[in-house]
Amino acid sequence: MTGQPLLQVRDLVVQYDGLRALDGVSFDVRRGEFLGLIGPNGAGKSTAFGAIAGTVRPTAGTITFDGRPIQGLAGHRIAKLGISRTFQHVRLFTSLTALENVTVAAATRHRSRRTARLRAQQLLEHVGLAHLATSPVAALSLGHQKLVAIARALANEPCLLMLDEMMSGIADHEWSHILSVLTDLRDTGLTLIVVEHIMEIIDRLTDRVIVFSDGRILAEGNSLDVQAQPAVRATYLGEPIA
Amino acid sequence: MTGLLKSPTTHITGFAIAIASLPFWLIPNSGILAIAIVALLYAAAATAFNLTAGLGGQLSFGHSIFFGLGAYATALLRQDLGWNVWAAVPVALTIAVVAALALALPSARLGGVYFVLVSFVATLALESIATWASDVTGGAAGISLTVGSPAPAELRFENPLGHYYVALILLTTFLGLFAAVTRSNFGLRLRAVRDDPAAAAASGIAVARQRTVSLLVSAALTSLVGVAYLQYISYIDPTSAFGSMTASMIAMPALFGGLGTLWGPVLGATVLISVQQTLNPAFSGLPAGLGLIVFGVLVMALQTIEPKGAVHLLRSGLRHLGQRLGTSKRTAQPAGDSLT
Ligand SMILES: Nc1ncnc2c1ncn2[C@@H]1O[C@H](COP(=O)(O)OP(=O)(O)OP(=O)(O)O)[C@@H](O)[C@H]1O
Ligand SMILES: [Mg+2]
Repeated sequence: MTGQPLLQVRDLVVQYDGLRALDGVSFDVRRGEFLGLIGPNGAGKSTAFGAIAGTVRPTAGTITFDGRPIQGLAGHRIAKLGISRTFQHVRLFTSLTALENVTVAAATRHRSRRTARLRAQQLLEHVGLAHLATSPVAALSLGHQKLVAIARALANEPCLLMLDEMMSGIADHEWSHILSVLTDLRDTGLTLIVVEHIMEIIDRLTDRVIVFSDGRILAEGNSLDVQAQPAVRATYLGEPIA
Repeated sequence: MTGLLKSPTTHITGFAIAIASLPFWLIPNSGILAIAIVALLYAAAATAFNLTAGLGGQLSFGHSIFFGLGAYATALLRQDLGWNVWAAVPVALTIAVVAALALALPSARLGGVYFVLVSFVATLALESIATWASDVTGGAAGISLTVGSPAPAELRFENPLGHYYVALILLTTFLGLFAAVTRSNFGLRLRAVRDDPAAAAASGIAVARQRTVSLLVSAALTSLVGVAYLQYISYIDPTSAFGSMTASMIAMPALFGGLGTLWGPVLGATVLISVQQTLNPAFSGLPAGLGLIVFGVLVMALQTIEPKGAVHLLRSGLRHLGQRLGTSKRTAQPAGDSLT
């Protein structure tokens, strides 16, 4: 089994009413890999996360996780199989505290309330937020909210974690902390896919990147090689084709 | 000490003792007592409604379905089969739960406004069916139970105070249950689903199942209020069982007082049911339907002043007063406390 990719996406199509957000996308993710998804606004990156995690129903195509087809399964079933995600717009449970946000996810893995709470406390500590555990999440800074979202996603004990734009909108002083959390995650051997517009993060963390454009894959390879491609420079990095 | 003072168990116990003592000093006559009994019953129904609408975010405008089924089941079993009320209770509960399941299966996945519509259509359909199946239900004329000799063990009292205490016991039990659910893992999942269903699903929570279970529990509790109502009034007809006035009297107190809060439905029922009973066309000679209009106006007025409900308004008012008197040392609200 180890030779097989953890995630296989084949000919994935997602159609929103009049708009084809993904138009036949195929890629693999190896176990333990740190994959970056980049591309211009509206390229379909978040939609790909949605389709894999069961937040969005795929119109066509197959998604295989750990040898099992998962396309079209309900979101909570996919989560149970070991896929977690965060959302671009964070989407915490706004009436709950930071600790409750993480506990409610941990409780899907631990029957006892005490164990779930302990695990949640551990995870908040891990992302450096133990001191804010009882704060209502609405009172937290965006950076802290994103860290709660990571802790909540980890509470599901995933094999594959998908992070959607962790660094966007983050205050300068929170930057290095979040970067170190991401680095730690990579070092645990967890399989990660990140959507990120900030190329410095992509360059520093990823093993490989896939460039999305207009619902298709434009390029794929290691970060520096991909950025050197003229088509990528033109559509994403905003440079005229030489 | 402050922990104990803040604990909902303490508040609920204090509330129960205070309300239990009211008839001895604050309820001057049987007219006021009658209003108080109805207010307590609807406070209990609104608390049951709050479990699914407030905690789970699944609004319904048809909780009268469960209230009406509880009342009708008991009325028919007592009248036609001569059953004791206690034998009727499990049947009433079962019927309400089955009805809730029938409603939930197609709609729990969709949630939101769809469920509000489905439940409203369903309660009006039941009103029509109860009117139409007159061979069984007595039609529009309803079912009048012969009161017979009082039997307190069967919840038939000579003095209406008996019904006052039955209603108070129901309400207190429901409040205790609501507080316990709020703090449980199940309550946490319900609140997560209410706040963001997609994020809840991505966290491994089975969204439709939480909504369905909360609806079943809520329906079961609401049917018990229907049973208690029937024992008190000894009469039920299609409109008072399933009509839109009954649907509002269950939903509006929670909306008015504050959805998802422990005390909102109690405060809402106290205000709205007192007003509604005072305007009751049977006693006041005012046109029927006025109650509904007044409900709507009161709820809308409150929503513009304080969208979170009267409980929050009262709370900030009290805090303000406390600060003016210079006695309040509390500046911050306790975090994540939805048991206000
Ligand atoms: N729920 C939806 N309904 C309809 N259209 C949608 C929906 N979600 C996204 N879209 C559209 O689908 C396209 C792809 O959106 P998506 O959010 O996947 O892009 P993205 O690559 O994540 O972009 P960004 O970098 O701005 O986050 C966009 O044109 C977007 O407007
Ligand atoms: Mg996006």
